[in-house]
Formats: sequence, C-alpha cells, structure tokens
Amino acid sequence: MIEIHLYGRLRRLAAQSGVHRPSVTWVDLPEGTVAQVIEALGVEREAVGNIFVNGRYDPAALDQTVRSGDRLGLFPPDMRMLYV
Amino acid sequence: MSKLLRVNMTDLKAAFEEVPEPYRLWGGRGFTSMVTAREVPPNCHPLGPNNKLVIAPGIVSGTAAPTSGRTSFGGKSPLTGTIKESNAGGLSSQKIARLGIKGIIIEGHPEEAGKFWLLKINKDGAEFLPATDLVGKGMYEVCRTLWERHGKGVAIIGIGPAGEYRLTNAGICVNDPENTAGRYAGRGGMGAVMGAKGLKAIVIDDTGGPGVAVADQTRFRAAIKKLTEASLKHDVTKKEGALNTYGTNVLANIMNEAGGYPTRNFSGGRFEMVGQISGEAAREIIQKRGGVGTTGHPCHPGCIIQCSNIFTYPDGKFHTSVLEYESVWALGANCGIGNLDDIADLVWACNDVGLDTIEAGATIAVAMEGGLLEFGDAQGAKELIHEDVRHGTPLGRIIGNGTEFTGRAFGVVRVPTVKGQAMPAYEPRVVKGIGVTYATSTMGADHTAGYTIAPEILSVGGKADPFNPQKAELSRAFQSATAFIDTSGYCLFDAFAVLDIPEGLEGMVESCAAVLGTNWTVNDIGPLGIEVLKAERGFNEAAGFTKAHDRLPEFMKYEPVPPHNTTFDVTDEDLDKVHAY
Repeated sequence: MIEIHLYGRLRRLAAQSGVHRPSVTWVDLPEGTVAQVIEALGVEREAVGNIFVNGRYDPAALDQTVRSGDRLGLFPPDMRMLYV
Repeated sequence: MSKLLRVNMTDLKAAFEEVPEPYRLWGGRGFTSMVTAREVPPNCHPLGPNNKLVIAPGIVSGTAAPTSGRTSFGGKSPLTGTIKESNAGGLSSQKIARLGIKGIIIEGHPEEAGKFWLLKINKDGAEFLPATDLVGKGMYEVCRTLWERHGKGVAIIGIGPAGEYRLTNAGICVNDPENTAGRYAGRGGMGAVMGAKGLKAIVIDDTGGPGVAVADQTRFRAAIKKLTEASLKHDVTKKEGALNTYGTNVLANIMNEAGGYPTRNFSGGRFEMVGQISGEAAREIIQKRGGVGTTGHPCHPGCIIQCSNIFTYPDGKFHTSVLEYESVWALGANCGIGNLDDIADLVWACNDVGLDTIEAGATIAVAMEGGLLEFGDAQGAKELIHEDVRHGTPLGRIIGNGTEFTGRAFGVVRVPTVKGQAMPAYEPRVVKGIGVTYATSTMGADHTAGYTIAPEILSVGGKADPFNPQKAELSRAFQSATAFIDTSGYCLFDAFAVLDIPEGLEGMVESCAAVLGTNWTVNDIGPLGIEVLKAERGFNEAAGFTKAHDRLPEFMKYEPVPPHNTTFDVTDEDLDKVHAY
C-alpha cells in the first residue's frame, strides 16, 4: 500500500478530513509513478500543488516511481510555497 | 533633504544633522550596519555607554512602494556579542521616513540609573518626556496609553519589562495598524540596549512632515509597477496565495511533511500534534470564531501580501496578533505544546513582557530538557513569563537571558544555538543549506539572513537538494541578496516573487535607485549585499569572532534526527567558503 498524507482541500479524499489530525489514505498499487497514484485517487493534476515523496520535496515528483511502503505528501495549489 | 537624528541619553539632547556621505546611499540594515561598523567600538560592552542603538527605515520606506514598511534596529548585540540587525513591520518605518529622517542614532547612557524616558518625534523636532509612569508596564498597555496621550495613529517603538531589566532576549516592539503590541524586532536582544539607555518608548507623529524625497519619480513609478505585478502574480505572494490565505504558518504542515520541523528541543523532525497548530488549523479556528479574527491581515499600511493574522478567543474577541510560523513553532512544537489557544497566550505574554518569541520558545524548550518543566507544560511556560520574567526574579533573569544562558544554568548539552542565538524553525540536519546560513550568518543562528529554504524545500529561485551538503555558494548568494533586501525597506517575503520573476527583481532595485538618484541595476544587488556583509564580518572579527564560531553545535554532528535520521555533515572547509570573497 502507498500511504498518502493530504492537506487543505485534498483532505476530502481521506476518511479523516478534519484539519487537526492527519488525513491519510492508501492506494493499493505495488508500484507506479506518482502521477498514476494521483489518478488512482481520482484527483486531477491541477488539484495538486507541491508533492513530497518519503519526506523529500521533488518538483519532478509526478514521474517518480513509488512502491508499497512509500509515503506521499500532497499539498493543494493554494498552499504552494514552491514555484516550479 | 533627509537628515539624521542623533539622540544623546547622557545629556538628554536630540539634534538633527546632515547625513554624512558614507551613509547617504544606505537605508535599513545597510544603514544600521554601516553606522555600527564606523561608530561602535567592537569590543564595547553592549549595555554600556559606547554601544549605540541605530534605527532606520529602508530606502523606499514611506513612498508608494508596495510592502515596504520595515524598520531596522541595529548595534552590538548583548545576546551574541556580534553586530546585530533585526527588523520589524508595523507603523514606524513609514512615519520616520515621511518626517524626512534617514536614521536615528541613540547614544550614551543615562546619568540616573533606573530613570526612563519617552522620546517624541514630530515635524517640530524631538523632545524627551519622562516615562516614569510607564516603567514596568507591558507593551499592550503602553501602546494604548500612548495613543490616548499623543494621538491615535502615532507609531510607537517600545520595550517591555524585559528590556527595562536589560535581559539579553529583550526585543523591540513596534505597534501594528490596530495599535496592538504585535510586531517585533525580536532577535538579538536590542531591547536590552534600549533599556540600558533608559529609553522606554519612542513616539513618531508624521503629521505635516515633508514626505520622502524621490529623485526620479518617473523611473520610480515604472519600477514599483514591475514589482507590484510580480508580487501579485507569484503563487506565494499573490492574493489568495499561500501566504495571504494561511499566513507564514502554512509552513508547519510543509516542514513537518519534510521531516524538518524541530520538535521538543530539536530531538525530532516531526510533531505528532502539528495538525492542531498548523496554519490550516489557525485559519479554521479564526473563521469559526468570527468577531475581529482574520487572516490576510497587513502588518503595515501599503502591504500587498498581507500574510498576518488576528487570532481570537472563542467568543471572537481579540486574543493576539500575530501567530507566525516561527512563534507557533517555538512556543508550540519545540516545547511539545499542541494547542493554539495556549500558544496564543504564550505569544501574547512574550509580546507584552517584551521577549523575542523564537528565542523564548527555544529557551523554554531547553529548560524543559533541563528538567525545570515537562515538555508540553503550557501552564508552566506561561508562569515562567508572567511570574518570573515580568518581575525580574532570579529564575526570570535566567529565562529572559535566552537559550544558551539557560542551557548553562541547567547543564543541558542539546542547546541549539550559534554565536549565542537560538536556531529558528528549520532543522539543519535535514535542510543543510539553512544550517550553513545558521552557522555562517553574521547575526548568529538566523533564518532570515539567508533563507535557503526557498530553493531547497520550496524550489523558489532555482532548485537545490536539501540533503546535498555542498551549500556554500547557495548560502552566500542568499545572504548577500537578503542583506540588500533588508536595506531596501521591502519585506523579505518579496524575495519569493523577485527571486523567481526577473522583472520583480528589476523593479525592486530600480525603485531604490530612483529614490536615491543612483544607476543601480540587478547586477548591483550582490555587490551591495556583500558590502554590508563585509562591514558586518569586519566588526565581528574585531569583536573577537573567528571561523571557529561559524559552526553548528557539536550534537548536530553526531545525533541523527528522526524521521530521516541524518546528521549535519557539511564540512568545516565548506562552511569557511561562504565568506571567502
């Protein structure tokens, strides 16, 4: 399972969507690109701003391969503190 | 044209003079550092008669330039022993500038110990008034009283009891547009210098003042148009962008996800309660409670980023402004405190008593590590400030003297300071460029001196890998660019826009050139910044600082910090490259 931590408007994708606690969901892909994981979540790319993979920010994260056990952090565009 | 106000606290005389040639093209930090380097003996006692408190608006402050209301405060720091500049928003810079004053130099030492004065500056000049009935008062009350006595809307610069006691974590307060004690030139204890000189507060009334002289109005207007467009376009600084929507505390969840959010005295990089204290949480609470609460608040008139906030009690009444990323981190995650109402109480306490919130939080965390309190004991932390620091008890004098002093008192090894100043809210073992800045900045551990978070985590201004230890050039470039921005009067947050949008950078430097009548272009930014850094380094060297002081604390070299479990492995050789110019 790939673990996804969600922030801002993206929290709605998690069962726990309140801001005070982690909003986490999982995608059951043994391996795939971050772009594929986002698609599997049913989210448009435009709805995602900055992306962290295992706690590391990567402006080219969409093409990175992630595996079961990895952690993604997805921030919405209105929390974009990173300009690509 | 513009003039300099020299204030002598020994003779209680204040006189205007022409701006000497060496200071003519400076403002803000450039001005305060050049004056300090020329006029303050580097080996003087910072609380003694030979130190000076230099106050300067930036080059464009007081004009129509957007987001330019910064005031710099400089001199020799009682906390670090280095040169110091710290700056604040609020009402002061525009009013000083519009009276045609380039800078204020406060010298000397009061003859009568324990006697405090108010300095009132308006179009007619500067006069001293006794401040006897303000002694011991917190800054919230001082602000209210001074608006009642001297007119609604005046700018107020002042110190709380901490400054009166000359505690080395005493900051200098500037009132915000709502006249709360919300803005601080916090870092480095310049409030203790003001207190040592017997100055409780300064009131500035610019009614009838001459305004700021702009040498080339046409060029100036074109330049600020470019900068305004860049600022309104960039994702970070635009309306409904990250800063405007959530404030600086938007960084809490971001730095926590990055594993670089220092928790419980820098013992971890993620805080399990971050969700309760993040910018998201604060915004939700503010909106739910209504009343006077707001995000998107400007800390000074003319700011177009508007990243500040007003936090409320459950009934919507004013609690405190402002809950910044740094303050919430220091008095929250770093102390193991996960409740915004408690943190707001602690911010209010620091603002009132007159302490820098970053240093106060780092101090309390070290005291917690030393066993004085449990991590998470918000009530105990509040009592330390209200019962002890406010009344100058022996324990209060320890806490009010900052992180390193407190670490010594309690025998703590994990003391996160450089040159005696506590590290702010970025873990250097994770974001190594900011660690290089902490180690090599002329100011001690300081995040604003060379904010490499942007290219490292935030990818603003080009990309950089936070874990790559080769960061000398990055830190140097940011330190010199920052020194220029700190001189200009523009808020440092403009850096996000100008470092990414070339027209924005042009607009920033060209507006400064147009005010002064120089020919500066973007190619002058680096050299001007380096000139400021050289003056500061020269002062520090003469004050006894060597490259041995440009290092992080030892524990960061051997203690890995979870979740990434990295240490600070930038070599000493690389650290020494930063200032090899």
